[in-house]
Amino acid sequence: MSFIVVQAITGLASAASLFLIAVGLSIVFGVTRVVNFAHGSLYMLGAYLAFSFVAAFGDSFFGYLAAMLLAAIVVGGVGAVMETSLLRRIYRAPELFQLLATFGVVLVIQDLTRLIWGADDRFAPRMPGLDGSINILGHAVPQYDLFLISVAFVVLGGLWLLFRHTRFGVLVRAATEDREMVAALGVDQRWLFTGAFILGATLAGLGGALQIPRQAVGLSMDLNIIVDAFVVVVVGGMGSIIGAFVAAVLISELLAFGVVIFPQITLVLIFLVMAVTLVLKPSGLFGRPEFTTAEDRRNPDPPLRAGQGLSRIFWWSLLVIGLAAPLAVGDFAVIVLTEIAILALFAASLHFLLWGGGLITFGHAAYFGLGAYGSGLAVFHLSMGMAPALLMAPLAGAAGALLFGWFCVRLSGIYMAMLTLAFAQIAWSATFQWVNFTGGDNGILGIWPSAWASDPVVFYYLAFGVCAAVIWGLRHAIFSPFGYTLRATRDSSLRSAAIGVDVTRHRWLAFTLAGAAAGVAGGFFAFAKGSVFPDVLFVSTSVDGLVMVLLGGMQSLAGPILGAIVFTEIETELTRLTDLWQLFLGLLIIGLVVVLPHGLAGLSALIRRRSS
Amino acid sequence: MSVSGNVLAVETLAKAFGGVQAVGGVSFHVDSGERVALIGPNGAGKTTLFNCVNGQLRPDAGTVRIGGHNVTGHPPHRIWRHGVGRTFQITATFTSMTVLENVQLALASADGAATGLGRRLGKRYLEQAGELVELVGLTARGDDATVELPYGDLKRLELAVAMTNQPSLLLMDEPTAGMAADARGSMMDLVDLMVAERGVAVLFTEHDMDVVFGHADRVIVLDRGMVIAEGTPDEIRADENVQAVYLGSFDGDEAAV
Amino acid sequence: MLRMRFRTYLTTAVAALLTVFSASIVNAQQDPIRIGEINSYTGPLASFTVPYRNGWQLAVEEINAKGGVLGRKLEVISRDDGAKPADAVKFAEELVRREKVDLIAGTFLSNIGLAVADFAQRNKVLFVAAEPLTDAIVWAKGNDYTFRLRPSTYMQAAMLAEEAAKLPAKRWATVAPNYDYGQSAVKAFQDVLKGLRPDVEFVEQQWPALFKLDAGATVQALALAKPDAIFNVTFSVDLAKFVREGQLRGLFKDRQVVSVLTGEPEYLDPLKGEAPEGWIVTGYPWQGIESAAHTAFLDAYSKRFDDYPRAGSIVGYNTILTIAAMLEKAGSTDTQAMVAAMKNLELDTPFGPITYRAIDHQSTMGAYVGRTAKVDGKGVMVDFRYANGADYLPDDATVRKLRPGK
Repeated sequence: MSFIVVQAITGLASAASLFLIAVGLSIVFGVTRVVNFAHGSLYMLGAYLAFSFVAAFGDSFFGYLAAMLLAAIVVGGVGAVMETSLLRRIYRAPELFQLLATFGVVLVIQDLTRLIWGADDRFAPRMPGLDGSINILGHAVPQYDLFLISVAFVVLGGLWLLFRHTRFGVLVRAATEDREMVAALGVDQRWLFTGAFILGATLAGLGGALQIPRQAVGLSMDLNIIVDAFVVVVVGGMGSIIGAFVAAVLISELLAFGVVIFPQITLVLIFLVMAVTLVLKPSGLFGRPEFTTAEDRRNPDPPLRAGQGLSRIFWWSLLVIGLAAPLAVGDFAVIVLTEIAILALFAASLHFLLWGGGLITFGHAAYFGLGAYGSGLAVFHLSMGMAPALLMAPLAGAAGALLFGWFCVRLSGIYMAMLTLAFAQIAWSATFQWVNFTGGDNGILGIWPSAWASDPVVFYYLAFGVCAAVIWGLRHAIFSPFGYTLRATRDSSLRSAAIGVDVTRHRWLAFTLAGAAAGVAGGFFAFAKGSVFPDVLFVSTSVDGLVMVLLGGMQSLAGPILGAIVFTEIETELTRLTDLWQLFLGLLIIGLVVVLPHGLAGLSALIRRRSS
Repeated sequence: MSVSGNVLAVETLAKAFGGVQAVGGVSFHVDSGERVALIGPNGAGKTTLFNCVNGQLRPDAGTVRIGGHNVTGHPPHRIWRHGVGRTFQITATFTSMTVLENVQLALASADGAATGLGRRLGKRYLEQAGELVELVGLTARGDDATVELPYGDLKRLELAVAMTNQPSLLLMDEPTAGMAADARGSMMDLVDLMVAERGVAVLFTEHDMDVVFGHADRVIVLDRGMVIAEGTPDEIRADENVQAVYLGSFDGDEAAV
Repeated sequence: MLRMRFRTYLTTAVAALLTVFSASIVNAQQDPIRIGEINSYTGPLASFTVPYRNGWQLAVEEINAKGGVLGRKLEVISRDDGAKPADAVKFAEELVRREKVDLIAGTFLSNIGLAVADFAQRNKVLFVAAEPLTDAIVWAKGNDYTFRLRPSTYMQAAMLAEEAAKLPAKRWATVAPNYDYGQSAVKAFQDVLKGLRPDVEFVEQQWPALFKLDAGATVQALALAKPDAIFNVTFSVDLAKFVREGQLRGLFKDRQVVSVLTGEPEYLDPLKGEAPEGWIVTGYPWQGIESAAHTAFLDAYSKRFDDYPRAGSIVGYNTILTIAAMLEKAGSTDTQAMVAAMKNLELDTPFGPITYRAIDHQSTMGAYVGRTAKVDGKGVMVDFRYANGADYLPDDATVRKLRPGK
């Protein structure tokens, strides 16, 4: 009994940390509708700053407290700079572009932090005055845990007062519930957005600063926390403060007791909670259904003009260049070209969903990874040859998409994105921890091409041929009635249903088709690398795919291809040249988002405007 | 149960939202080739009733039959398969497609080809689509992007799309909403043309009483979820109950709302 | 307008291809011996790999100052894999095909080590795996072209199990990150300890996700089982959390803790004043090793980098020493000659002489086993001894079973 009480308190302390990081993310999303990937980076920054301030003047309770508060304020300032110099320019850009921009910020902050503080983990001293533990029912409980819990309640109460009793708070709430209304009230939205973002950033910084008496500060803090924070926000309901609180408590208590009962399940548990919540209550525990549905897309696409003269020449020349390139370039370039062909297919399959169906997925790596594992496991467990193993790849990708997609296509917008992410992370956890079947973290080795295709040039032609054929197939699908119907469900699900289209089923089919295509890419990826590891399913692979699509340009069928070419080249060359490649890549992404909101394929429009 | 000539038969339909009875046991029918207007003050339950018929809402009780088939609670895309075309109060079209493509796709769907991965949509169904576009007077704009169309033309496009499955019933939610007064008449003339040429029945809601009395064969009046009157435009105009509900007279030029 | 769009597409595509093309122009200078090196120099692992890089840089400079090997200088071409196995394989391809390196070395993460080892076998390139700990790289998935320097998970666990067997403790709990390294370490420790002490039992196992340890809850769960002793495999940020929560919640009071790698400065130093006392650990007590070879290394390293070495520094340094010794023995950079030379290669290192076993390609480099203590508010290892790796490997018959095809 006493154990249960103490474990519940322990869970509450974790909940407090989780709440403090998630609530800022939720507020920022509620007001600006920006999914801020860099929220975790602001949290990490808060922790590093607090560490330095504590080292300078944190040797008393109040000094330590001041150090943490100062860190939060500085991070709020960083947030102000980020909002006014970057986000403000892109509120009108498509949502995914905002996501991409914040991901650029993640890369930049990661490298800057390493430059400033170095790579070593930093462990701050305990907080003076709260450096011991007190006895509760015979168990020692750290005093700081209780302090942290009270801070969470103070922040919750403070936010409640702010949102009920100040003009700013009322406007924030109004904006969260109905953006148009605030615009109609004649409020300066820029001021409101900046204010909300600074509040969110300050809370992130505070959340990070408050962690330093509990954990070491390290460079993995940003990505480690951001996915958990998303989960809390989504489970609680986007924009809901009390929702973030309840979700944080729910998840932390489940983890605290889950550790005792199923010590192995911890990694999956949090995503299971999210998946179950979204399936049962699609807008989260305290969320409202999202208003921005596919019906009021901000930038309707122009009609698709197929296969007209010059666009046809572009595709043919791509094919010719692809076929001729190995004759002119070196061995390693052929290997890079193989990777480009594979990633172009991955990006094209993602683009098919994002653009074709308006289906925002953050978990497309799942189907790429399932394809890779489908082939890898076929080789490893069934001793299949390359050709049959490659056939397993689209089957595995499609099977995963069929299963996960059934749940995902019932949601829309950011909730759908989060559910796709949850399933991808569940798949990743399974491959990571199911060692007997998947080889776990050590992966599956020895997935090399058959003898006839072992020459890199031969394998390139094989990969290029199949990937180009599948890309062509996806392109054809866009022009077929299937693709028109898919775009129809994106343009207006109401009208689609009114002309006899089963919108959910059609999205599900598209999801499965894209999953199969991504699976093909994954299968070739496995054979190109000779091995498969769980990181092919990890969120970073999904993000890479999004970067490629957005880099190339969403509104063009050529976009994902261009994006894959440029992204792979940049990554390969930058990582060769400099340790600071994340910094440069991040700056490049940010610059691109600001200058070229329609991606590389939108370059022509920009040049037209300049020259006219 | 199917009565010859009954395109739509609604029996004791009821729907409540959180204890508020929006529609409380409504029965009516629409006959083949008939134009029926559904009117009532705001909050009378028109929209709820309409959405129960078109499948967007699932009624708590009662039945909806279309062409003799019980379609109660069926989703919209299945209702469409029974020969029901729809237009919306705020137009819903495929904004990333041309006028012709909107119609072509609907024709493909009517043909059961909407999920086809085979031949491109390209020129398929183009001839039929051209005819429908011509029928609603949009031939000149056939290759224009839908987003470039003025609102009145979007309404016409919706009508063309609604006609693609050769419907026996058109469900039109506020067919003239948002249109200039002079355009309303020509829109409704177009509807009358569909009825005359294609024998389709029409059930529509409408706020403009000129439109109602000028273009309906029969009017059903709802108030607080119940049918309070039903009859020809002249009968409704004379009905004291209706006048009481609307707190005014239908005579004169002003549309009572 | 369409012409414009097309031109843009084409320019971009051609530009991209030209980049590939121009970068692929072979830059092969036959003069120095080229060593391709891959490791995770950015991201969270940088704290481990940067001291390692210092180590190999020092060795390269020392060897080249003496005129190199076989009359040729050593040149290391280094790549950052960003902790992604797929990128490590890509750079292995690049190093071999474009940079024409004579052999590959490096890697830290086990999965990256395995991926590169597999690549080495496939492409018949020698791979000196510096840091990956996994047993699989020399046993279950061992291959002809891969040799590993650092003492493996099994060896570290066996060194600790030997000490653990001397303790009176019977009820053991374990805590390890839930992935291959944690699982292998726990299994090896259990196997060896049970072999030495059939009377022990394992009463609780905690498997937190890597770098996501829920420290308070895990510590409570361990305490609930009332073990006599705890075997810990967590490291880095997880270890810091575990140590602080464990101390605050009294988990370590009257309990023995046996902990893998915690004596390495990489893991011990960030804990500063919080460093645990009396834990039995493997590690690298650089302050206290008194051999002449190590003192020379320590002096040179401190002078060159104005910093003290970490365990990774020794590994990096020994990697290059290995390669130099192997080249002297092979007399050429022919891969088969180099592979043959690696077998039974003997060399002197700051840790003393080591041998690369022919039977499983594992070096006999050992580790120091001792207890942690606090001196001047800092964690150090005391009462340590050097555990020679050769003494903590299974007998040859067992190794033959563990390493198929050998």
